Amino acid sequence: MRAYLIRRFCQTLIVLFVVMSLVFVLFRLLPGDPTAMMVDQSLDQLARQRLLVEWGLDAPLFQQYLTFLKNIAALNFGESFYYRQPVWQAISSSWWNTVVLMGTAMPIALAVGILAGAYLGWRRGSRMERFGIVLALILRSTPIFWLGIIVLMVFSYWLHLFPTGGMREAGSSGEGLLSTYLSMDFLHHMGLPLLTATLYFLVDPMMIMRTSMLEIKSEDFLEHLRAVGFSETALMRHCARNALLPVVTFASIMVGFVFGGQVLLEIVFAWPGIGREMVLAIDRRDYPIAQASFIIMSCMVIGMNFVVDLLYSRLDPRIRYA
Amino acid sequence: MRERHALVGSSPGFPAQVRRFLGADKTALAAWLVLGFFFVLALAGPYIAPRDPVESNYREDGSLVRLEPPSREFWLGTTNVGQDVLSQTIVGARIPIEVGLVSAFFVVLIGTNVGLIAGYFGRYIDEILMRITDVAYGIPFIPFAIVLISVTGVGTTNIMLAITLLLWRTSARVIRAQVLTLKQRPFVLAAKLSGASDFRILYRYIAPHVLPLTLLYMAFGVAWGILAEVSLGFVGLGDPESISWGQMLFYAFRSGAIRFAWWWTLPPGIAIVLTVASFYLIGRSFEGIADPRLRER
Repeated sequence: MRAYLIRRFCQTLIVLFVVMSLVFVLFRLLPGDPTAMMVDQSLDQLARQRLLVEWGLDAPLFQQYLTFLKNIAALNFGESFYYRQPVWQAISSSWWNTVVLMGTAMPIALAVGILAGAYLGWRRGSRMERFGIVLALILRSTPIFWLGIIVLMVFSYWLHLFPTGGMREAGSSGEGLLSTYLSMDFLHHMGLPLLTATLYFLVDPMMIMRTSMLEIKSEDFLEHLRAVGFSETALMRHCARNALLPVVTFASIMVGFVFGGQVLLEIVFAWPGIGREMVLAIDRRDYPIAQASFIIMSCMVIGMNFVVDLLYSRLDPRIRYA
Repeated sequence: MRERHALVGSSPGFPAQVRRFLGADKTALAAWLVLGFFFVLALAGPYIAPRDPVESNYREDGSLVRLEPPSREFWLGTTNVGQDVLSQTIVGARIPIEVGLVSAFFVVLIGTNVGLIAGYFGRYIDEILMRITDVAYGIPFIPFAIVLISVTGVGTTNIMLAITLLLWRTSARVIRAQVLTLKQRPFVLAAKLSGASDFRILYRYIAPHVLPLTLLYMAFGVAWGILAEVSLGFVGLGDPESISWGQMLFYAFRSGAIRFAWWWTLPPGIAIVLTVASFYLIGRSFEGIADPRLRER
């Protein structure tokens, strides 16, 4: 187990390193002067020159690459051109906003998806199952931003039940963590993005759970339990527990595409998250912010993949830690 | 020899198989019909569209036909600059479908080869290729595509490039897993003992067995490609010279027309859902061929 852990951890570090190197290359290809990445073009010649020297941007590329890695390790992403303050200071709140939204949507989507999938698999052939599958197909074929637009049109513009976007009423500002995320105003604003994200992300766990249930359903142990006299619900529960494993595997892939969908969702609902921040930053040519947002999103994906991997190996004792 | 002949004779001919397949899977047939419809739009859109999709329309008194709900003249209403939504929806089919098809081809080409080579050769080749796959999995797709297109410039080709560069990862993993089990089968050993080269074993004997999976991922790849294209169009990264469903939604959203202009937001969205769903359904019917156990279900 220990050896497996260490090996997996090293692999994760390598992936992290390669992705960071790709980021270094990618962001230095952005339009404009290669130093455009780090030094605001609107500064005058003298001030630019001073910053170039200060940040080592006159050094050879390889030297710069090492500095880049060192800075990332220290969470030092440079200075934002737009906000005129250190990048981390400027985007840490957007990062939290994304984490709060996705951190709520994902567990709900997984829980609902697993329960619904277990039910659909167990009641195979019922009208309910048919309906579930059609709904899943439609949701899986819907772009998340369009789903968001439809949800907005219905619940906000038509029924006037929810605000049209943003995270809080204009004028009010969150003081401290608790009052930001625990006010009714915030929850009211989170309603629609949360609904959209949950609907969108529950489809895959549901369908995978269903297929897995169908496979487990024919196994002997269930016949045995049935003969012992277990009730139908109890049987379903036993079947579901055994069917969970593929959903866990899938969860790692899901984490990856959650951080794609979320960018679009944040744009539709004007949710001040890190994905929206990245898109805005690219528009404003505020490259330090764009780069930092991208790095943070990648790190979250890689980190979550690692966590899910460990979870999986704990859940399934059949995996050999070779 | 006679035995073999009997075997061949007992299996139905190809046309019969196709007929049986189409008859057995009505949903797949429906999906093919829907796709046929959108393919016609994609190929002949500009000739079918009743009006020029980018031209602003004016009334007789010279005022702009702005955000007009569906009428006899404009079946699906107009946009905020008086363009015909119906014509835009028809012409807008081409780019998503083209991007979907082309990128799916490359996605599957790379994915299948990476999977075949990694699975068959194993050891350090497998290790290297799978770590590269891990890297592809470590990069969030939409943010990556947004940055890449900002680097390479807005355009359809660059959208295809972004999709191809990352999305081969899924088919690579799945096909590698399949090759790992295929490799243990006696026919591979037989081929090896009779002196077949690795290349021949891989592409002549193993590859046909993963072909159904490849087709499945090809169909899924088109679905993902279309979704990716419309998503990037919605962010505003589509080719500004042309029209696509994603861009229509981008303009509808940006102009604030989504408040009430359902005739502008629904048509492109429904077209996307129908096209993508058809590709998923067709993929599912390939899956039925690939895995006969699924047919029962």
